[in-house]
Amino acid sequence: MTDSNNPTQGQAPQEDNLTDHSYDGIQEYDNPLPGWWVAIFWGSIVWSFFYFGWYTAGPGDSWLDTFNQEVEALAEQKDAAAKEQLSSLGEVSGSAASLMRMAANADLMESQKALWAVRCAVCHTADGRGMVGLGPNMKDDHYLNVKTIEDIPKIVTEGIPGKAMTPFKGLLTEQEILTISAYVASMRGSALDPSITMPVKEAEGEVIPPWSAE
Amino acid sequence: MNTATTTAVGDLVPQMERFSYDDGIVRKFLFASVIWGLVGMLVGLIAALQLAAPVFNSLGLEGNWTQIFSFGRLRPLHTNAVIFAFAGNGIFAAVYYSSQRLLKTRMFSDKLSKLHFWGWQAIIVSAAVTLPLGLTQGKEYAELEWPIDIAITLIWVVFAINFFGTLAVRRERHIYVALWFYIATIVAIAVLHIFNNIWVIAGPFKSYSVYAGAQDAFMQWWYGHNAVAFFLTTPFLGLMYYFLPKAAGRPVFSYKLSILHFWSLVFIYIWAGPHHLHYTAIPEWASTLGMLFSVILWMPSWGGMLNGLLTLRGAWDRVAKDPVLKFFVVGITFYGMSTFEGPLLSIKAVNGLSHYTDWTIAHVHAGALGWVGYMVFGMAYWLIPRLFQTKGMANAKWVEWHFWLSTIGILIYIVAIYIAGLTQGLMWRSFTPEGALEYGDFMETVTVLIPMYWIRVVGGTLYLLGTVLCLMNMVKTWKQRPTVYDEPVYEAPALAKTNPTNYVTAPSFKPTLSKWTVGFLVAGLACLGLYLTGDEATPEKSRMYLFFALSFIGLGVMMGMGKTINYFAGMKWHRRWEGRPIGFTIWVAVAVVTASLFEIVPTFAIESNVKSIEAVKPLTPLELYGRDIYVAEGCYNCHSQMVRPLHFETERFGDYSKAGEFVYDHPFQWGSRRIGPDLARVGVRLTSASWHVRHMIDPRATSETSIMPSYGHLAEEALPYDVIPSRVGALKLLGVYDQNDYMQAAENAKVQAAEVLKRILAEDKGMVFLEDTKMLAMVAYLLRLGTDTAGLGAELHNLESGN
Repeated sequence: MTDSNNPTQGQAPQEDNLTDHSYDGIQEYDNPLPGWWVAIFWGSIVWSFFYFGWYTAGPGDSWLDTFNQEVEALAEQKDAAAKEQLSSLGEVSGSAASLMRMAANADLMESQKALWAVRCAVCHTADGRGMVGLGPNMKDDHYLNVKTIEDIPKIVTEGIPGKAMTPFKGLLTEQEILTISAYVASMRGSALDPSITMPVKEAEGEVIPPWSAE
Repeated sequence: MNTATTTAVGDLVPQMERFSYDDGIVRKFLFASVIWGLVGMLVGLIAALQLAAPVFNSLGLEGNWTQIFSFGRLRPLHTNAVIFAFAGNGIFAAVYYSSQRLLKTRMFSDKLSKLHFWGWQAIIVSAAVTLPLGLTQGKEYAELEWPIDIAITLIWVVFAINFFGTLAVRRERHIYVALWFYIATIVAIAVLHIFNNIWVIAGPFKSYSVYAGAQDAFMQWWYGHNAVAFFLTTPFLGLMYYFLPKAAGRPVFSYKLSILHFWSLVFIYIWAGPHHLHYTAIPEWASTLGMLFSVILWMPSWGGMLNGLLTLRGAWDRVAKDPVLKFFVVGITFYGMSTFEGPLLSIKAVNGLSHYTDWTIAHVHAGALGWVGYMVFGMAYWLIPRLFQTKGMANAKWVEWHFWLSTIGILIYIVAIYIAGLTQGLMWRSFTPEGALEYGDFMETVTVLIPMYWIRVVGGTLYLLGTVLCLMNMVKTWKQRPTVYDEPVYEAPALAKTNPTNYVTAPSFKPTLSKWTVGFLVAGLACLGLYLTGDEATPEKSRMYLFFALSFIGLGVMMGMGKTINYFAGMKWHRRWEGRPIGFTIWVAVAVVTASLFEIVPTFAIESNVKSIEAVKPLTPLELYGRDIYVAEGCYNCHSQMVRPLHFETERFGDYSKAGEFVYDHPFQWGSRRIGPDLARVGVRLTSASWHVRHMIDPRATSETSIMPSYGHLAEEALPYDVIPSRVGALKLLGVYDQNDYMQAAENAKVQAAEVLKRILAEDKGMVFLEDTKMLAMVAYLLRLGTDTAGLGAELHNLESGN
């Protein structure tokens, strides 16, 4: 269509009807609207009536309906996973024995990393080395507020009044508090993650005896 | 300048008038556009560097004044400069050049033209000073504080008088499509600017939006979306309709298409605003409407693209050779791409993924760099030789370089940022098989983007280099100008006093009822009857009847309208309108205002849209001042305060946000992008006061890879207790506080500041240096966020579902 003088080539523009409009030399063709353009335009309008009717007056799910289904499905997924992980661990409670059983289960502990990242790493760092001026180091043998392993879920639940530790009651489920407490216990004595360059929090508090179920 | 001469022939020949065009004003606006464009893009490049490496937040400088360069303050400067200075001046150059010629008259008043130009530049300079100083309303693209808002209104009125005055003294009976788009721009921007900027004044450069929370969000995105429509779309379509056929020497493809896409664009655009608020605490029906109108908008937008590209039929061989046409073709292609992507992004499910991510950033840059930028540059290269009366551009090669540098620049930019957006969106919603968030540490979803941010810097730099070439070329061409510009004198007959009546009369309009119309209406009414007489025991069935009733009646009305549209397609009625610009303008205003009222009024009128929550109380005076700092620092540029009802979001940030939680928020701070995590419930999640202090002073001290700017200056600047009563006083006018609150504001703030300091010291006794500093207000505010409704969980949900 390079040669505009040759009417046999493709859609030669001069076949179109020109209107009698001319503005500063600009003319306008009187071409009809492209059919597909009209079709999609009307189609989108017609579709909108159905969509609006279906989701506003009709049976379509509202976004809160969808949300509630998602939340329910997620809770089931979590329950099922927890049941499987905890099934071999007997009674799950805040007792020393139960916490130690969980802390010794490598699979369960591995799965706690995600929760730690969301809730705890912000003050205790991703690998639990603590944060200068903030969360204590979880890797050494020194503890400020913990005397036995059973103190951990209590502190996670209630926080330390007047101090930086957040009470997680309401933010985590009871079961999550127990598993994350076991995870905290399992960090004791573990190695630092070399990819993190933040300073390691100095030892604070007393050295306490190793975890025991007694 | 308009000398009338009578010809010897006398009455038979209409009286000829002589006139010349004012091109001096066009030269000014064009220079301003390119120079400010360079500034705006440079600020954008700095902002891009800041996201890639936070050291750029102080530009590597030392001192407690470098916060003027921090991202939260520069990003609004970038957006405002590009929209209102680069695009704005470009639009004015187009309007002033083309309107005179399309109307065969000089501008109405040279004085008003000059006042418009210098006034607008003064506004831009004041924006460039106040935004880095943290003087902002905290609403996107409407950041400028109240004195500048007033100045904008006045200068816009000057522009309007000048433009409509020019229409009044025109010598061309009918107004061309480019002018329709200019009219729409002037009318709609006036309405948008005024109604989104209604505030109470709290100080020389401090005000609070009269709207709060969900309603403020609604107003803001009615404005924000339509600023895109009427500042970045309609005037550029007007530009296209003049400069493209001029440059191509081809008639416009379809007059009918011009009419249809113009009116549908003007009417439908307005409704689409709520697509910026999907899944937020607005009524879902409003969001649904926003989505549907956005989808319907697809074809009206493409009408402009078609009329642009199809005008080039028969001229395609020239596109490869003529750089002006090349810029236009790429610009229009980006327009087509962006206006397809816009409806796509407005679909709720897509938006659930894209919202708060870089996807939006990529989308707007395809529009701004591709469409807006290329239309301005295409016009510039066509205009410059004509304005400076030279043989051509001083350096034709640089034009080629500009084209290729910037085209590659755009592609690099948007591809990288699309990848960044998708990556982050997908990471946010990823769960482990155990049902935990796979990337629980928010920072993981940020650090992964850094390489993409560096690539963006490369793309942005290329685009900027192109603009530098453009400016250099422009200056070089300007130097070749004649000593005195030739000012040709034109002749045209004056417009007859009366509008001619010889329009071919359209077939008279008789609303006809086809079989289909009647059929659908009858079916619809039948369903309505079934719904009304339905059994309350089966609400599901009853809702189905309502659904079919609404759909059938809607279709019936549509079918009836189909006939009407046929009548409209005759278009002779429109030709008559084109001869009557005042009537035309009124109809544009009616379209804009009607659509706005339909959209906005229900959310304000229906009380049940915002269910109040008793536990939600206004902030204390100290927290309010902390919020003012949050606004001033532009925290909303990176942090949202709006948890959407999506399970991956509530898992991360806590319960989803309810409209009732924001009833005292003047302005709302929901945000539009999450470069950092959501803060709606940060006071529940992060209860350590000293953590916030450390994090504000040095974000890297608490999050190793954080890209947040440092806010150490808050720990050094004194907290101005005496300013706080004026803030409380202003919000008292809006009913947030009472007289008692106002009287005790300063004292109350002092007491709370001491308490906050005590709390910080209990955690870390080394922080005594914070006494009476702004940091205390900031921390007080952050610790308050989300705490009012903490623990209300189930109770809130019942409220929300109406139980």
